[in-house]
Amino acid sequence: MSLYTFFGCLFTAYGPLLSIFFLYIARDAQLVLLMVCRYAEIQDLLYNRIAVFNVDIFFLRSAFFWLIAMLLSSVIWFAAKPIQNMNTVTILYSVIIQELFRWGLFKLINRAERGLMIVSKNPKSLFNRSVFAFVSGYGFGLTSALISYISTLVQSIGPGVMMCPSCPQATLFFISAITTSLASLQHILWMMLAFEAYHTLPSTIGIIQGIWVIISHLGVSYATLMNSMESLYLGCVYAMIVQLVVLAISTSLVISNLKKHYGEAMFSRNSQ
Amino acid sequence: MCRSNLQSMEATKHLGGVIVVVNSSTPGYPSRPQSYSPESTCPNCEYGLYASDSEQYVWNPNGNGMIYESFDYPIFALNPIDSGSTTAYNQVMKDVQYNSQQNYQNYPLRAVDFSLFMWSAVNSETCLRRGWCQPVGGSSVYSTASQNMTSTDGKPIIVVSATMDSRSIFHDLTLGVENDVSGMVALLAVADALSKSPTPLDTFPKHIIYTNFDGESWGFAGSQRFVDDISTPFVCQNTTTGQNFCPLQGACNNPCVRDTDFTKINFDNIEAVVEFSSVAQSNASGAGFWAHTDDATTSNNLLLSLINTSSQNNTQQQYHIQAASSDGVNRKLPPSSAMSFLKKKRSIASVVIADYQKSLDSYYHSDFDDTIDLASASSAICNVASSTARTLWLAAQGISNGTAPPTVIADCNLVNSLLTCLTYNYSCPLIQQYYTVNNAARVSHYSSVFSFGGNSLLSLFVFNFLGDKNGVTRLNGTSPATCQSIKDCQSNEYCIRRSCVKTFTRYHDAYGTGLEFDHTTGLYTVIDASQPTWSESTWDPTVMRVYTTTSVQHQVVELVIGILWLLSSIGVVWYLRKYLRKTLKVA
Amino acid sequence: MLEHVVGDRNVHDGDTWQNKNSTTAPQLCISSGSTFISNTDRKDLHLFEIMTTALSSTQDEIELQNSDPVPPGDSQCNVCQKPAAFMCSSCGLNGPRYCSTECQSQGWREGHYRLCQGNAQARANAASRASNNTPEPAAAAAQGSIPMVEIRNNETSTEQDEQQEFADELRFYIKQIYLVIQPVVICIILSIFWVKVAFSGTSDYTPVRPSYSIGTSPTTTSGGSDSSSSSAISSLTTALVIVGQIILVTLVIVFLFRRGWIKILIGFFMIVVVGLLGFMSYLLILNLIEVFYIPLDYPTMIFALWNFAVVGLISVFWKSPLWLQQAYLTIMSSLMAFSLTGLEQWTTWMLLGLLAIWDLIAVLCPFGPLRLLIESSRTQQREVPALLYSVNAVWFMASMENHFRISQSFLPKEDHEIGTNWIYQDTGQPTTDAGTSQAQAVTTVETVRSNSPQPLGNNERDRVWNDESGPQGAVIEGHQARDGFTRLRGESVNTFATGQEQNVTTLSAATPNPNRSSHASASAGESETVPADEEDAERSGLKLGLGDFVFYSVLIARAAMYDWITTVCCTVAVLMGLTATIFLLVLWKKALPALPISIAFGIMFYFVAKAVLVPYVGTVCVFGMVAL
Repeated sequence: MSLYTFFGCLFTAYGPLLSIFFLYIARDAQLVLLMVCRYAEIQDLLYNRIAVFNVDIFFLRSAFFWLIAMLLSSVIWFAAKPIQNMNTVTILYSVIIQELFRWGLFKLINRAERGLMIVSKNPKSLFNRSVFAFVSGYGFGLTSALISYISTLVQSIGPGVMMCPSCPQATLFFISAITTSLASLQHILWMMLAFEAYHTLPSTIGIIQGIWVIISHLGVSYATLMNSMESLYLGCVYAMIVQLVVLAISTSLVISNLKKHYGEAMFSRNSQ
Repeated sequence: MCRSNLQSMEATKHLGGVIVVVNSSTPGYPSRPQSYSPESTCPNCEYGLYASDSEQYVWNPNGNGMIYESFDYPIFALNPIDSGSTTAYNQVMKDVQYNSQQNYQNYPLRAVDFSLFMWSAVNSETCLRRGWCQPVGGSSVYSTASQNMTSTDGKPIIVVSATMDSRSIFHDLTLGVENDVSGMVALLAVADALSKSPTPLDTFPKHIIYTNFDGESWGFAGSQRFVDDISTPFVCQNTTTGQNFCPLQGACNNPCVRDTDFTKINFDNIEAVVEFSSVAQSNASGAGFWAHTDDATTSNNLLLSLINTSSQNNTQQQYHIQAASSDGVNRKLPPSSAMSFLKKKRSIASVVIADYQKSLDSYYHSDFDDTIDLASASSAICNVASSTARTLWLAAQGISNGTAPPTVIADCNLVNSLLTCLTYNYSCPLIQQYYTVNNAARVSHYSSVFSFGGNSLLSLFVFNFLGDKNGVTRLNGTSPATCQSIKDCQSNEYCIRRSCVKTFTRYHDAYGTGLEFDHTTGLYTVIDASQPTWSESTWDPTVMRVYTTTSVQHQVVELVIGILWLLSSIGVVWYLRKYLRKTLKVA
Repeated sequence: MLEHVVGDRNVHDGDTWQNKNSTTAPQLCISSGSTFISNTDRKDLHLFEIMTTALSSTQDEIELQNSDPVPPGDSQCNVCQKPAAFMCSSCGLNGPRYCSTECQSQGWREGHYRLCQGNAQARANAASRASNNTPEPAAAAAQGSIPMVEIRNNETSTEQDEQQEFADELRFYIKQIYLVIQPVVICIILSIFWVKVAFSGTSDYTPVRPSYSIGTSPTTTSGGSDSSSSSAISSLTTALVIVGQIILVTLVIVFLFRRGWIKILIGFFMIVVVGLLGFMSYLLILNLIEVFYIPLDYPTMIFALWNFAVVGLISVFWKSPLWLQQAYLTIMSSLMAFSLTGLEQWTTWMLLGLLAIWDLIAVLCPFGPLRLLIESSRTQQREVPALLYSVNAVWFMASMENHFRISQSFLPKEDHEIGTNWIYQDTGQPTTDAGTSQAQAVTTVETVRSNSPQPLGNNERDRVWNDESGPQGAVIEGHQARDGFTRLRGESVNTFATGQEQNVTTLSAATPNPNRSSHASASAGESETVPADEEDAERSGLKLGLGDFVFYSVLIARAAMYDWITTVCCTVAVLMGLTATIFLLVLWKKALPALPISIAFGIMFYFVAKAVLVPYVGTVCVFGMVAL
C-alpha cells in the first residue's frame, strides 16, 4: 500500500514542523502576537507607519520573504538557460539570495523592534528577540519544506517509487523527506544565529556566527548534492551525516547564545 | 493462453492480471501454436439454421471457448505491430527480465497496474436500459447493378454474399484475414469481374445482388436483420408529435431507417445464395475449394455449374471447386450468412464456397489470424472469384450450358491490392482513388458498435467500391460530372470517385435481431432473447503502466520511522517548552 | 470589506472614572482611543469598529470609527433609576451604577454578586487610588465588600495607562486578526480539497459554468471566432459580464436598502443560500461519490442534503450556536468558490483582477456604492442585511431579542453598551430576560468563570484568553470587567464602553449576485423591533465579509488546479495580503477594500511560480534532492 509510504514521508518530513506548530506557535500565538508598544514610540512609529507591521504573525512574514527569495532565484535560474542543469551554480546563487533576504528580514524586524518595548511578560526580556528569531526561522523552514517537498510527497501516493540514485535501497521520497526535515530544523537555527549575529555585528562572535550561517548553509546544500550522485555509493548517508553535524554545531551555538541571554536576564533580574 | 494455464495461475491466488503477447511469426519471438481457436466448437450454432437439430456438426473441434468466458482479472494483449506497441512490448519484456534476475524477491521490483473500467452491468438488457452499453454491429452494404429493381418485377434474385467482420479475444487486434477478408475480397473481385460483362447486368433475366454483411460473428446479426427487413412488409409510422430519438433525418423515424430502398428487394424472389467463406487457402496445401450446401437437391444445379466452371477455367487442381459432401458426409452448411436466408425459406439454393471441407480453419476467430502469404492467397482468391463470376454470369441468364465471355474474369492485381489494403495498409493507392485516407494502416475488423448513420472504414470502402462497379456515372456532356462531395450531385446520386454516380448501393443496419431501438426513449431494448442480443460496454480509456515498487515491509518501515520521528519531535518540543518556561521563563 | 467593529470600547484604564455629572470628558479616555483613530469630535461617540462585511464580492470596506467613552452625565442607578453618581469600582465603567450604598447592596443581592467578585488586592488598590468617596462596601455582599467609587473624571493620564490602553488595543487587534485568519484558512483548505476532488480526472461532475462565449453574450464583440487568439477576448468578456452582474446586484441591493425594502433582500438571500447549500452540495457529493467510490443511495443522500440545507438556513438566518453559524458560512463560501472554479482559467484571473479594481473603486471613491451603503445604513441606523462572518457573533434575525434583552437588562437605559459578545452578557440581573437564552448565557458564563479563577494576574488572564481562544475571546474581557476587577497598574483590561447606537453600524455590503454567495442575515425589519443598543452586543470583534472568503478561495483553488507549489505560494501571498490589509486598516482608520492587495499578490505569485518556480523546484529539489 503506497499510503504507508505517503504517511511515513509526511511524518518524517513535516514532523518537527507540525509538532512545533501545534505545541508552540498555535497555542501561544499570542506570544508572538503580544507586542505592546510604548506609547511614545508608538506615536513616533505611527507617523512612520512602520510600527503596525510588527504586530503580525511573524512566521507568515518570514514565509513570504523566503518565497520571494525563491522566486527571485528561480527567475535567475530560468533566465540562465545554459547552466540550468548545473546544480552547483544554482545552489550558489539560491543560497546567497536566501541569505540576503534573511538579512533583509532582520533589518525589518529590527527597525520595528527598536520602537517596540517588550513589556508583555518579561519586561525588557532579552529572550524575546530569540523568540522572534525562532518564529521567523520557523517561517523560513516551513515554507522551504513545503515548497521543496510537497510535489514529491504527492507523488508518493501513487504506487510507483523512484529509488535514490546514491542509495539504491532507499526510495527517493524517503531520503528527500529526511533531507527536508533536517533542513527545516536548520533554517530555524540559522535564523536564530543570524539574528544574534546581525544584532551584535561588530563583535567577533557576531561575525563568526554570521559567517557560520552562510558557510553552513552552502555546505549543507552542497552536501545534499551527494544524495543524487549515482557514482557515490551511500552518498545519502554522507549527506545526512553532514546535515546532522551542522545541526549539532548550530544547536550548540544557539544554546550558548540562550545561556548568555539567560545569564543577562538573571543578572538583570537579580539586580532589580 | 488456454484455460488450464489460466486456472493454474488463478489457483495460486496471487494472480493480479495477465499480459498476453500476441506476435507475428517473425524470428526472435516465441512461435505460434499450430492451431488456436478461442471460439466454441460450434460457432454461433445457437443462432444458425440447425439450432433446433438434435445433433449439429462440430465445425470447430479445436475451439476452446475462451472467447465466451469472463475473468475477474484484467487481461491485456501486447502485439508489436507498430512502433508504439513495439516500444511497449520491449519495455515490458525488459522489466520481466529484470524481475526474473532479481528472483522476484529482491525489491525494488518492477510492477504493472491496469486500468480498464467497464461500465456494463448484469446483462445486455440491463446495460442497454441504463445506457451503459451499445449494441454490437455496424453497417452492411448491399449493391446491385439492376438499378430499376422493384419488388414486383418478378425477376428471381441471386445473392452473392460475404462477411465483413471477424472476431477474436482482443478486438483491437482482430484481422480475420483468412476468415473474412478473403471472402470479402473474393466478393469484390466477383463484382468487378461481372461489371466487365459485355452484356449489361441489368438486362439479365435474374438480378444479382452483392451483399457484404457486418456483425456476422455475433450471431449473424447483419444477415438476419437484412433478411427480416426484406421479408416483412415495411410499415413506416412516422412520429411527428412527442419525442423521437431517431437521429436520422431519413426516410422514416419509426422505425428508424436511413432509406426504404431495401423494400425493393422481394425476399420471395430470391432463388439462390452464393457465399464466400474463407477462401485464401492459407493452410490448405493445394486441396482446392469446397462447396458446402444445405440440401444437395435444391442446390444441385448451382453446385454442378460451379464445379464445371471452375474445372473448365482452371488448369491447377488446387483451384477446383468440389462438392464438400463428395466424401459422403453431409455436413450441411458451415456457419455462414446463407443460414439466415434459409431460415426463412429453406428452398433457396445455397452454396458456401470455402477452402476447408471438414472443419474450420485452425485460427478461426483468433488473434493469430493476421498473417497471409500474399502471393498464394491472391492467386487463390483470384481464381475462385473468376470461377464464381463466370458461373454467376451463366446462372443469371439461365444458361445451363455455356461459357462466359473471357472478359468476365477476376483481376488478380486488384485482388492483390485489395488484400493489402484491407489488411495491412488502409492508406493504399487503391483506396486513395476513392477518398483520402491519412494515417490508417491496419484497420481492425471488429464490427464495433452500431450507431445510426455510422459507417466503419470497411463499410465505407465496400460501399464506394460496389457503388463504383455497379453504378452509372452521369455524364456532363462527354465527360463525367465531377463532384467533391455528395452535395455536388443530384438527389439520388452519390459522389464516388469524384464523379456523380447513380447506383443502387445502400447501407443496411446490422445489429442483433433480438434488440430493437425504441425511438421514444433512444435506448435499445431486448425484444427476443433467443436471437442475438450482443452489446458492448462503454469503457473508460484503458491504461497499463509499469513502474518500480518497493516491498510492503519497506513501506511499513518508512511509516514506522515517520511516526517515531513525529512522536520524538513532539516529545522534544514539549519538553523544551516546559524547560524553557520554567527556567528561562521565556516560552 | 474589512471593517473593524469593536463594540464600544472603554478606552480608559482603571484609574479614570468619569464623573457622570461632569460634562467634560476625560482627556485621557479619549486620547488613547483617538490617537489611533483620527481627530474626531470627542463629543460624539464613535464606535471603534473593525468589521469586515461584505456580502459576496468586493464589498470589502474597512471602516473604522472612533469611540469615546460616554460622557458621564448619562448614568442612571441600576436599581432605582435615579441619577447615579457611583459605580462599582471593580467593574468600572462597564459596571452597574448606583446612587447610593443601599442601591448597591440591593443590586448586589439581586445578582451583581455573581458577576462582581472582589479581588482583595484590587479592592485595596482601588481604595487607595480612589481617594474619595468610597463608601463602605455593602455588608450584604457575600463575597466580600466591593467598594464603590465615584464616577468622576480623572484627568491624570499616565503614560503607563496610555500604554496599557494601547497595548490592549493592539492585543485586541492581533487577536482578532488571528481569529479571522482561522476561518479563512479553513475555507481555503476546503476549497482546495473540493478542487482536487472534482478535477482529479476521474470525476464527471466538474463544475462548468456557462461562459459567455463570443456569439452568445450580448456584450461580446461581433465577429469573434473560436480561434485561440480570441479566447482571451472571450475570457475578458465573460469576466466583464460577471463583474457587471455583481455591480448590478450591488446597486440593486443599495437601492433596496436605501428604500427600506429589507424583506425583499432577505427573501432573495434566503433563496441564494438554499440554492447554494442545496445544489452545490449536491454537485459536490456527486463528485465525492464518484471519486471515492462511495456506495450511496438517493434516499439517504436526499435526506442528508435536505437536513443540511435546512439547518444551514436556520442557523444563518435565525439562531444557532455561533460555531455552527461560522461553520456554515465557511462551508458556503467554499461551496461558492467551488462553483466558481468552473470558469475558465483566464476568465478567473481577469475576473479577480476586475473585482480587485471594482473593490477599490466601490470602497474608496466617494460615489462608490458600498460607501453609500455604509453611510445609508448609518443614517438609517439599520443593519444592512448581509452575511458576515463574525468572529464573535453572527448577525441573525429576530431571535436576537432575547439575547439582547440580557444586555439591556444590564445597562441603564441609555448608551452604555457592552460592546462585546452577547454570550457573555451578565445573567445575574433579575430583569426581564427570557429564560432559555438566559440560561444558555448563564451556563456559558459559568463555564467561562470556572476557567478563570479570580483574581487574574497577567498570566492568568492570558491563560484565560488562551483557554477561551476563539469567538469567546472577547467574552472574557467583558466578563472580567464585570468581575469586580479594577484595573491595576500593569494589568490591562479590555473593557469596552458602550457607545451610542447611532454610530454602531454593521456593515455589510451585499452583493448577492445570484452566482455568488451572499448570505444574508439579519433582517432590518426584525431589527427594527430590537432596540438599537442591543445590537452593539455583537459588534465587537472582527467581521469578515463572505465575499472575501469566496474570492480568496477562488484564487487559491485556481492555483491548486495547477500544482501544489502554486497552491502554497498563493496561500502565503493571500494571507500576507490579508494581514497587510488589516494593518493598513489599523493605520488609516477608514474603509479599505480587502481584496486588492491579496489578489495582486496572489496573481503575481501564481504566474511567477507557474512559469519559473515549478520547473526550478522540479529540477533542483525533486530530482536533484538538494536541500535549499
